[in-house]
Amino acid sequence: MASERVPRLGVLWCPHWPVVVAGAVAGEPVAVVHANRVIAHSLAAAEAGITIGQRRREAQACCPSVRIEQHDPMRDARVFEQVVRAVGVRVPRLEVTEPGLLTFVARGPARYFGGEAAMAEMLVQTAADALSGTSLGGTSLGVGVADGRFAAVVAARRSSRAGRPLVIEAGQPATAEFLSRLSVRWLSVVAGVPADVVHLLQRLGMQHLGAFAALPEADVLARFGHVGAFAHRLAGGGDDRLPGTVDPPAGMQVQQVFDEPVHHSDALVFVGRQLAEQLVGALAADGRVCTRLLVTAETEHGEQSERLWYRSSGLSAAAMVERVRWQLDAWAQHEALTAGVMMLRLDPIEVCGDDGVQLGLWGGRTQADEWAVRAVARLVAVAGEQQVLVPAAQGGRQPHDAYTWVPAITADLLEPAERLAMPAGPWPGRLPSPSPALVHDPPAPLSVVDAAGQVVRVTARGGVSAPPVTVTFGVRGTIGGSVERVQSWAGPWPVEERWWDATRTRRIARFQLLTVSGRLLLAVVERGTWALAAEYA
Amino acid sequence: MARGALADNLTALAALAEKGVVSGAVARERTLPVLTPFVDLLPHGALQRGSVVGCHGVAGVSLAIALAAGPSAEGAWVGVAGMPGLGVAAAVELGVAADRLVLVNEPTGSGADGTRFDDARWAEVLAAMIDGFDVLVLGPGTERVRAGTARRLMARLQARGAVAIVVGAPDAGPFGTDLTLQADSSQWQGLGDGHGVARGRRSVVQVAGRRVPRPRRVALWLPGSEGCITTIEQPHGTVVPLRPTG
Repeated sequence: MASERVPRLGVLWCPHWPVVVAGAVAGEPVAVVHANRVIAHSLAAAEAGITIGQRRREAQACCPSVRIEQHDPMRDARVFEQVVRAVGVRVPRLEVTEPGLLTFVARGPARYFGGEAAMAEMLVQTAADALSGTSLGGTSLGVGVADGRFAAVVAARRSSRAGRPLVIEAGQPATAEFLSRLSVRWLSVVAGVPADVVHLLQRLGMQHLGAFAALPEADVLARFGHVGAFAHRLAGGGDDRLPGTVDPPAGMQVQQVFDEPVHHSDALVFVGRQLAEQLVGALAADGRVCTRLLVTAETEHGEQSERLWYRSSGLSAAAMVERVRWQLDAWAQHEALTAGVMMLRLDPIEVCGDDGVQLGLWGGRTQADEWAVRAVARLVAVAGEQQVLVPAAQGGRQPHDAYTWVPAITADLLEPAERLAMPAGPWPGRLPSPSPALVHDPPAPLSVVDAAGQVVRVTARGGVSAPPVTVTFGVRGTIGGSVERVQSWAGPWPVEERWWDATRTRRIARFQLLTVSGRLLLAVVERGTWALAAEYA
Repeated sequence: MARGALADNLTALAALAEKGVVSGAVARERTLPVLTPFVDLLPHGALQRGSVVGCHGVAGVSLAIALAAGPSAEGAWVGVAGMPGLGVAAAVELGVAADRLVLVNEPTGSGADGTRFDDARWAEVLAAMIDGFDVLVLGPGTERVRAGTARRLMARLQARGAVAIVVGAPDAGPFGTDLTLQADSSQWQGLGDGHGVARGRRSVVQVAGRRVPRPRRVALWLPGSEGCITTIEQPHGTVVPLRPTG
């Protein structure tokens, strides 16, 4: 691997992209959170002491005036597409590493534009022009050109601070010289080396990458293992591809050609999911995972969208689908497509051995999420597909209507926004909160009688035949049904559902019944029959 | 850098490790945060990872959901088993994040629904839940798990650092609890004789357990009018427990 040349890469970096998209103005403290952890913050927020990885409450304690925004990767990607398209006109085969970070091979464009410095200047100008018409104009951009991904990203990030492009001379000695004076923390910020390893380096007295690079490689490997050796190679300006990165065997690409042109992006994403699962499965059979993926879509009239996606920890099927969706949405939004899509192709460009090490999770997915998703897959295998459920918003007037349970295999666990978006109301006749903690679906048998022992009826005018006095759980008259006296009650609250549909219309009256033992029941009456719909347990 | 300084630092580190010094960050990771009303109630003001907490009494289900809401809001996943009728709306009102909530539903054993879980199946299901979720809420459906199986599961719970919240009658289930919360004397407000609507429940929660030398009590709105849980300020200090009569 060491014999191979380190690729010369250019990187375009838009600093604090999620914050910029969230509409931060200069000097305003803004933090973007995911699962209650800060994943991005504005400069003003950083000055107030907010750091990446903080809990939301800690961030608010540091800076009470901070504006907290929820992480929305879809929005970040959609807005970034303007930059990608503008730069894509000048530079081929762009790779969107994450929204806010573009990587490309520098050799070709540099020759075309007359030198790396000229190319870098031109790119800053192009990207700034693309953003100038929008509310995001004036965002400081950084372009770095260097050997290898690590040095290039570091150079781009430093260039955005300096305000001018930064080109590091080719060759391992120059790269090592550039890195030697920088903090070892870049290893965890950019390359995803675990923070505790970096912390340990600092506690051992190595503040700069140069000091770390000066250690003998064999000693580092013995003390820190493969992660340490990888970090050491980065610090020395060496090959920064993940250990075991190789070109995939030929013929791994998967594609789907449609008989009928597809016009709906949801349908395409669904096909994308099948292709992604097929590809991930085929790679997993070899113990490999795809780190760089080329997604191509083509319409009937030959319009084409081609994007390269990279993720250092490897793209799971869900991550691939997400990127397919980003690409298709942006494509459909920015180009007036004249025909439906005829072909979708996923092509793995680079794969590496799947050793289970999660390096560099770009974005804010937490460890807990990864574990939970794995546990759900295991639960489905053990308990059955229909037995493992997650909530989905439905909207309705009855306690069991507002949310319903759907099988977990049909839901995207890590993209729950769509599933949990409550349909816009109003839902007249909904009972006010608090909601019952136990819902019986279908309702359990119940009987409610008055002082004379007659079943309480609801009159046509919305009154009751007599106040309820006793409730019997279970079917009345059978052995085992427990009887309780009613202490207080309220109702009936009538609901008439789907009155426009003669076959599905329902008239229901609801009551709250409080028994002497302190149980509060939500009972429903339909056609003179009582049932226990829910319980405020 | 000089080799000598490095060696010195390493010796100092080794000495620290021998003393068993635990940094603040690590100690915090051994607990799960809870909602504000529980901070004064629980030992160390948090849920200890690896522990089993029992929630009993009339408001037991609401209490268990409210306990799970603290970790859930901080990014933990909540797995529910043995309680098929959990009200999602109530859970959301109490502060549980619906996007990190998973329910395992036992088949009823009637018709085409499939057979009920036997002991071995429950063991597999609960083990998978312990491995994947930080908080488990176990309802009455899990009371059929055998005592031996439950002991093995609790050992796994401790190793993994999850928290199990058991709902049901005291001592009914096979899981030995480290901490019990009893929610009694529930008084619903807002309900009259044929009028009004339930707006909130005053409930007195009592905590007892190994690490609680003297039982602690607190009066709570469980739930309050917005469905969330809040402490009821007592003008005269602590609540005087009611003496059973008759």
